[in-house]
Amino acid sequence: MNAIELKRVTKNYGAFSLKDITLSLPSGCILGLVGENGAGKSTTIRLLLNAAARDAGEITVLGRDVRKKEFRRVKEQIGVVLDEAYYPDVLSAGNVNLIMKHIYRSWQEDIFYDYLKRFALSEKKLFKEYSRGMKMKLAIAAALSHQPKLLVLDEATSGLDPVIRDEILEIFNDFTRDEDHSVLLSSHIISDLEKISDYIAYLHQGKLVFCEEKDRLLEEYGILHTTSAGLSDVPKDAIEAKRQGRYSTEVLVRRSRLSGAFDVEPANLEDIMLFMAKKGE
Amino acid sequence: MEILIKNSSGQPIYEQIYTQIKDLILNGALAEGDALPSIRGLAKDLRISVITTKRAYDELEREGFVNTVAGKGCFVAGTDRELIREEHLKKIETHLQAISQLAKSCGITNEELIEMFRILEVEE
Amino acid sequence: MKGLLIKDAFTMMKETKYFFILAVVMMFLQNDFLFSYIIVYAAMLPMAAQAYDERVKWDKMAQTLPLTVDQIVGSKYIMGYLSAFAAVLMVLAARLLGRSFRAEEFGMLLIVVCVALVVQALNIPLMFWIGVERGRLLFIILVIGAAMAASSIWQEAITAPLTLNIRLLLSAAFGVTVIVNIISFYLCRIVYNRKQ
Repeated sequence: MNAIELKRVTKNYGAFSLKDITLSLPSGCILGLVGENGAGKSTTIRLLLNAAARDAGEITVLGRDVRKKEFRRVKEQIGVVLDEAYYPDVLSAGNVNLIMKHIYRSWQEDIFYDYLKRFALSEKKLFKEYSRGMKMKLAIAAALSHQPKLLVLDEATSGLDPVIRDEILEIFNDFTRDEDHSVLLSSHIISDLEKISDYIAYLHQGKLVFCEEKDRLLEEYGILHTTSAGLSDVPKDAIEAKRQGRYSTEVLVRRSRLSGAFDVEPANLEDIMLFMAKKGE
Repeated sequence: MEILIKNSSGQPIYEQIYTQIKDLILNGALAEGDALPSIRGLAKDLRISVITTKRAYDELEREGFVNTVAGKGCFVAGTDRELIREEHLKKIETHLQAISQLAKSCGITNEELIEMFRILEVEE
Repeated sequence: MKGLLIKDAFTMMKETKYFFILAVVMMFLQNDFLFSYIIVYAAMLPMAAQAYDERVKWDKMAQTLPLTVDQIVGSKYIMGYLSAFAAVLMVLAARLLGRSFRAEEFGMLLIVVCVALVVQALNIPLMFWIGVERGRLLFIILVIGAAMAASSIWQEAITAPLTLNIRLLLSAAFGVTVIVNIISFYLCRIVYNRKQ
């Protein structure tokens, strides 16, 4: 079963539009949503939480159409962390517990307090006295404390220091030990996504460039350094994109279409994305 | 059991898992009937993709090294000695081919090679 | 829904302090305008909570929670009703303490509450529409105007109780308040949905 499924989804917002997005997140997996600022990551997330209405296409989350009335019940099972924790700043973590207890039927106080302890968050301290890292941790604690089956995180780790980021990624990694648990994680920090994602979806200027299994991407694509003369030896259909410099040429190649001895270097996700973005323009 | 994943090796991760588990089975570190870690558990502990881990396990099953029991997990299959022997023979053959090529390229005779091998054995 | 009310109660806490100070002052100054003002003010208290929501962009968060638009919008109305009710209790207590309470004032108190709730009904959709920050001046004018209106109706009725049919006046006020609130609620839903 797919935890998230988008079929040919389109949304127009004046100058910006999200065009014909088709992607899915299989249950039990982590999908990383990458793209530059303004690529459409947040819009995609708003659409699949029914915080905005799509103009065309189909969206189902945990098996339910998000536009249906019953979707509110489904939201009980989704833990969401946005780019910022939008809590009134006069609240304390204890207040948040009291509020969420009456919003989520499946709220688990003891789990919430466990996370507070684990994250070293004080129960009494007011939200406005929290650092950004603490705020995000509080939001993550809240997102994990109502037995969610799906976590949706929109830039939840950006602006945090690497040690905290790693700690948080580890929690998401652990969360998917249960095969009914899935995670959608958007970020422009590609290394974070490369670390924990099973699938990577790349949005660029409102369009989906690819949605692929991460390791297959890394296995398939490689970088070949060559001269303009050497380029003619490379089979045409193996060349995905190229970057022509004055003194040398870098080519993103598909290994499966390459025969013979080429000295192909491994490409990381960032390389692949940069090449693909260039190619699209 | 221990599995080492190297991101820099250029060898696909599923292949690294596949070969390492296969080697553990072939050299007897994993015996028939031993349970393999769950796909999910192994993937999460190694911090690698679940799908990739599954791919390695599928490959192992296809090659007959492990059996999957629905709802229980993966177990080392009863590999018969013949199969292991064959595997080893294949490996030796490839090494020998490399040796004979090297020897030819610098004019070492077969007699000299055999002599070298004897000396090695004595030293060990 | 209850969760939203609790949240609003927490964010209103600060404003409520001034409210209580005002209530204590009122106990000593037996002033009719002040009595009306405090009831109207009470009905407006949820605006403070809404201002907070707006400043921290709470609606972004609310959209991710298992809440309906009815609950998000409705909680603001209920909060207003609750705090108006609390204010009425305080006014009654102050009147009884000052021993200046007369039986017919009971009806007048109801009128003031009706005026307060009509103002609230005008106010909430407006606040959802243009926002509390920008609607602040409008809000102050509405409160003062309403307090003056309520207090003058009260004065009128106290000085000339026989010329007015109290019962008719009360039912009319109550009816109008209910209708205005229902219309306001639906309007507010439309405004909220469109903003999405």
